[in-house]
Amino acid sequence: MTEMTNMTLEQASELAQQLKTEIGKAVIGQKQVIHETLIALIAGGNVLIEGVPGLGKTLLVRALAATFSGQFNRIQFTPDLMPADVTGHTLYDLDNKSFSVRKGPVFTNLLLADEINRAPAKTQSALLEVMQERQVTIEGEAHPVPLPFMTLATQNPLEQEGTYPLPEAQLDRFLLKIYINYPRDNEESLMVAAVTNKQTGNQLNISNVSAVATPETIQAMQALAADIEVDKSVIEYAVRIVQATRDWQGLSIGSGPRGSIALISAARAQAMLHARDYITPDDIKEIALPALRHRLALAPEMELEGYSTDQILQGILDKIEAPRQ
Amino acid sequence: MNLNEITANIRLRNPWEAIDLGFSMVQKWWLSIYLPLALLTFGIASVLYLIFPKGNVWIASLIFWWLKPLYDRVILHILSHKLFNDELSTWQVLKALPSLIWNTGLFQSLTFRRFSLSRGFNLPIWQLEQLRGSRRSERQSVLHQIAHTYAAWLTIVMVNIEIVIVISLFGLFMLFLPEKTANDFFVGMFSNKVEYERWIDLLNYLFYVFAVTLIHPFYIGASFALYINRRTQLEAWDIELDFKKLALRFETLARNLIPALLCVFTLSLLSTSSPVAADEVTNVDPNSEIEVTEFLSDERLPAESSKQVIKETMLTKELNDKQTVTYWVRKDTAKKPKNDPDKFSFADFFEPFAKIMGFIIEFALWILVAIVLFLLFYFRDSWLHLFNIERKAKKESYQAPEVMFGMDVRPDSLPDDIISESRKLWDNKQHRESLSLLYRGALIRLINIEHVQLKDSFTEGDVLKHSQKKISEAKHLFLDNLTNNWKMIAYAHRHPTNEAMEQLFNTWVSDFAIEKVLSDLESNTSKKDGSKDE
Repeated sequence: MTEMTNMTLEQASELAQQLKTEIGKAVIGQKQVIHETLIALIAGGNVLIEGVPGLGKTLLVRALAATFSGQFNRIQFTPDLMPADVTGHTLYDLDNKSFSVRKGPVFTNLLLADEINRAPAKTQSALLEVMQERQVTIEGEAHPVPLPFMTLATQNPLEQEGTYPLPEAQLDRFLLKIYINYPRDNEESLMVAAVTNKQTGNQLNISNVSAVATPETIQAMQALAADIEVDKSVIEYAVRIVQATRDWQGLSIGSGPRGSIALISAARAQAMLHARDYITPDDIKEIALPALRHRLALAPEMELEGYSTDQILQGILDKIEAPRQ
Repeated sequence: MNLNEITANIRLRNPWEAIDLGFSMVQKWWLSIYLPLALLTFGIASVLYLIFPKGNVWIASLIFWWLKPLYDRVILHILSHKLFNDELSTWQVLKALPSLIWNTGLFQSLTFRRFSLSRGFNLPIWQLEQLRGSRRSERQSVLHQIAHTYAAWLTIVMVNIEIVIVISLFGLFMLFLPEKTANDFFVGMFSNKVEYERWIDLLNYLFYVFAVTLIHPFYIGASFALYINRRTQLEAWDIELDFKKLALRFETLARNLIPALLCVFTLSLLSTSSPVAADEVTNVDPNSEIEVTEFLSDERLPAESSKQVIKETMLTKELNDKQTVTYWVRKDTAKKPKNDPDKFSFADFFEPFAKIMGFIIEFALWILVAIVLFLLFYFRDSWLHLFNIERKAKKESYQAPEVMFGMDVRPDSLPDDIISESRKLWDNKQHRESLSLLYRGALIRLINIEHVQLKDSFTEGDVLKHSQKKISEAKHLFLDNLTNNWKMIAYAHRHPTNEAMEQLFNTWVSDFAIEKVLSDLESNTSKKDGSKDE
């Protein structure tokens, strides 16, 4: 296990590669998903993963937690889940004759909010404070959550029955929205072989994953990423993209300033993964789809024509002038 | 044609009432109409479907639609016989088909008269009156005077009803499909991604044939009723019928009354009869008496008195329903002064010039229209793509830009010797300017010599990616190196070492800034060498 709180950029990049390798032992394939999840972790953001059930979302989170010996909690969102079930609540202790706080499952490093769109908006919003401020207020008292903290929410595609779409305010708090797709043929064969080998039942097997970091090293990586240099022209490029979404034909709602912030934060993490101490417009472009796709709403006519937000975003990226001096 | 046999109530109607009468006729005689018609339409439709199978069913639909004048004739044949109380069997109708095809102007109806909006209304002139040539056109123009507008609108409305029925039947069918299949179909339809499926074609075709078979008799029925109504207006069929009824009543009355009068007369001779007894005899059939008084009053007025009664009658409210209609009239037309041949008029003087000018302007406008049409056709590529986003994306033409990323990328904007200029800047510690010049030079070479299509939105990474397949490996390696150094100075504000820069200058000359032909020759030579080695 690596204990490095004052690490160099190269060390951080190497560590990130190790994290990827370790996660890859449990999660077969899905390299882009792992890459983007790591970007969100290093940027200190939260992730919304969308995909049909059974593609290894829980396994990914558990493996990620195992790589840095972090705590991991999972909340299965259901229609009758209450906000207090998520955040925690106070109980009257008869022995001490006083109120004591019972902390909810959000007090962890990695929180898997499974099928978040199965719960109504009231419960979904219980996560707003912790996602933004890394603290939970119970009975007027703020309780910080352990760091590093990341919420990984999963949701089924919105067309499915019995789902509540996430409110815009909540969506905006996710740094990235990642699409998880079916594995490729060869990856699926490997996965089936790995899961069924010497194993009864179909529980998730993360015994191969070894811890290569600690929560402290992850925090150090986050600090290092936050220190990566950003040129003014690159910030302007990110802002230009986000501003274009606001009056782009085919979009009814564009991204707010959180979109630009997310672009720069995620691009910093991306540069760090590539052992670079500065970000380039390429980083912005690469991360633009997952960082912005959930902050936009398609115009009804585009939805009717079968366009997706990714297609519109790609159109914007193809039109916005890249910086160059 | 025997008006006595007519089975419909003939009276003077307004055209909408006449259309209603047509609909009622079809409702009343539906069995006699639909049976032979369905045999004909579904028979033709089946044959057409067999001739134009998979993928060409639309041709079958088109031909079926085109043959509508044939169905018109069959329906009118049945209706005209039924109207005069002549019952036709299905077999008789089908047997009449050849004569309906040859003797009713079907060829004209299927060719240059196919798009006539008053087709149904004109049909009785061809088929029942058997008029041709100038007599037909004179007759038609008389009949058209009031009824043509209604006949044309009737055609338009009925065509629309047919379409509505086809769509409704399709919608009804979709209701019975599983939700997902129906949704996919509709989404596919709107996104133009419906794959060809035979059942869709067949269903469309069947529904259309059904709609035509169902609606067409109503169209012909209403058109025929409009025609009958127009003839009633012109030839006073209603009055003729009333007179005939009157004559019939008189005949009946005379038949009953004369023997009775003879009887009374004989009895009065034989016995002394009282006036009461005479009254009793004359009132043998009180009904017939009422019928008579209905038309002829017992009281006979002298000529002067009748004049007075007529005058009074003409003054009644029913006959004096006067309305005041106001409308705008142009002042100059209302008070147009009469032409005075002696008085000089400017208007008269300029009239010939105005006519010539009018002719010239009209001619010029037509030329303008022709030019616009020609230009639209000539530049069709530049506006047709507006209707197709995907095609637009595919066919977007590329022109070498002059300004990219805020930089002048025209070849003549570069100094003659890039390397010495860049080296000079580098020596003057203008590192950024030096690398910028080199990178700009590389981009200009890519655009103008290597013909790599670059866009404003391309980042440095995109430029590398897009040029990879267009330039040789050595050139791409150099470009990669140059881009990395450029990115470092542009975004990290760190300049490369002097050695790295020197290497860039050298490689520019040896690997990158060489003519394409030369590099191709070299690569060919190296390939040949390689093959020799093998």
